[in-house]
Amino acid sequence: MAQGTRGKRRAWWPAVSGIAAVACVLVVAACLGTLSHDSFAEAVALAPAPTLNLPVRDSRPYWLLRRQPGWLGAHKVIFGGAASDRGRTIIRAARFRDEASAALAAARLTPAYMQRLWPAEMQTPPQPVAFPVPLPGDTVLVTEYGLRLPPEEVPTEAILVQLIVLRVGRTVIVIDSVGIPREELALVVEALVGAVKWLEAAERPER
Amino acid sequence: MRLRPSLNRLHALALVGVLLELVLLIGVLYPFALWRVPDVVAASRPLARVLGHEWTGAVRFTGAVLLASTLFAVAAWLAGTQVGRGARALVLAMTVVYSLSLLPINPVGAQDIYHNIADARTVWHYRDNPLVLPPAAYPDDPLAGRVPAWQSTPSLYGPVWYLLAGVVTAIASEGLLANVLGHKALTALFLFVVTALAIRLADRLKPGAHMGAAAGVLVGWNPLLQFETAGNAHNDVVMVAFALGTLWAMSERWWWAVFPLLALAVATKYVLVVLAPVLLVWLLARRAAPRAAVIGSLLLGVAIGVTAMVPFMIGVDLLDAFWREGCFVSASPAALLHTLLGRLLPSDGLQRLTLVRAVLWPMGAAAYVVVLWRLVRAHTEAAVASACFWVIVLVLVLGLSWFGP
Repeated sequence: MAQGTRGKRRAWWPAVSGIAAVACVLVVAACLGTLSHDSFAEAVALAPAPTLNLPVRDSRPYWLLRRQPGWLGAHKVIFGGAASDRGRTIIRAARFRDEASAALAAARLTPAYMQRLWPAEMQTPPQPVAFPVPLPGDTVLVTEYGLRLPPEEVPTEAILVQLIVLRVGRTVIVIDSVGIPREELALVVEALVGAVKWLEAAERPER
Repeated sequence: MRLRPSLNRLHALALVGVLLELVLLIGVLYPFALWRVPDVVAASRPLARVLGHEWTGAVRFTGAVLLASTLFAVAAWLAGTQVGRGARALVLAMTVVYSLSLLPINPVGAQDIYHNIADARTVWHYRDNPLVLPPAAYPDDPLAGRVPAWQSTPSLYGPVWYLLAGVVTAIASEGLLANVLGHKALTALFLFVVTALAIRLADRLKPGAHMGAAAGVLVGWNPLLQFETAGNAHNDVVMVAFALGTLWAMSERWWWAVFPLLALAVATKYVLVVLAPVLLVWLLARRAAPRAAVIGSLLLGVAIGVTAMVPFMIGVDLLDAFWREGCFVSASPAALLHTLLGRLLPSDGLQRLTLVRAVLWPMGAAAYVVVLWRLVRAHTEAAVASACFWVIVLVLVLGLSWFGP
């Protein structure tokens, strides 16, 4: 009888341990930060779709500059990139509370910092380069980096990727593009700047 | 004076155990020791980077693996003849010795450990969800920058793993070496638990067969498991510990504990959810298990699993995450078929993977149903343990396109 009682008591300890573990997890998880959907950033990132004429392969909330003060949300869209596509362009857009925060965050996006953000993609660090035509935007940084390929793929020559950092008002945009002509890339930048200005103007009456 | 045969066999097992320790010291600890290779080996072939790309490096490692595997096989054979408690004590003691020998090696076989360290910091230092935010989201973190692979990919483990990893984070703080050793010690501890559970379960499931020591050797003396846990801190062993705990609860007839323990296994790594139908079918078919206790255990397990996981799922498109994870094709029968089809059919990788799944998944589902059907008519705990084993084999061989349980 005594043994039976002890057996029943012992039977409860895994369940009690499980509940205790879950309680610990809940305490931690209750206040875990996550990525929420930002429709402004998404609209900006999708804006060059007609210009690029590439299929959208991926579109999701993103973490770009998330720990910078005044960060409201970010979105990433991948255009193209499949074997059948003519190129690949990734647009990452982050929205900030005010222009000062956006300017401060954009200033952080130095070539060295960007290599820390996307080390898996970069064989060589981004190098500032000249762009054939002037690009619109409050601040613009044009760079190029050598694409890191999987070990099994041996390219005949280095594949250079254009990496453009752009700030327009309260929005910071990073354009990562390979295989797209520069003239077309200039149109993409124009589309992005136009989208930010239009969306900010549309927001203004509500504030 | 002549020793008893059982004592001779125990001495032989101890001798083989010592030889295995020597092989691990010379073949694994010496070339990969953290004092010789202190930095993160950021290479696609880290073992080759350390040992050299010449044939001597390959022979050196292969020789150690072959020797260790041979000694391991001999030890398993010798342990199968052991009866007394001395053998079990020896098995557990040497399990600890092997783990201690492999703790100070550079985790060259797994770059995941650095991701896991960064993920633990994501939860405990930044209070963010690692299922959403990858290490690259913290470019200013002193440890996130040391992650050599998958920096932009969020992890997909369960909350129980993050909870356990948090213990290491709390102790090791920002020290890379301390975090690496902590993760290795954590998984080595769970390997010891798994070894002890395997010994007890083998004795319980096959009473009179005296297979406890052999089961312990198969786990704790297994060079691969030691290399992957104490050496490389792969966290699968945590999931396995809870899964064996589930079987242990069944063998002890602790019906209420069965599904809560399985829930903890699933909340470590999700793949073991495939065992839930196996356990449920067997428990419901078994008359000795009270229905109320089984249903209560199931509800408690579901409650534990759901409440643990739901907070981590906020803002996570889990299906999308599983889809992305499921699209990796590597080191599996599916990968072999995928490669063969690539030579025959002009199609892209995703199309071929869909075709591979169309072939393998129905086979896996049919085999799963057969396992459940056979289990309905089985009544022993050994039968349910066997069914769990076969279900895991089916998942690995036919379900996944890469060996990542």
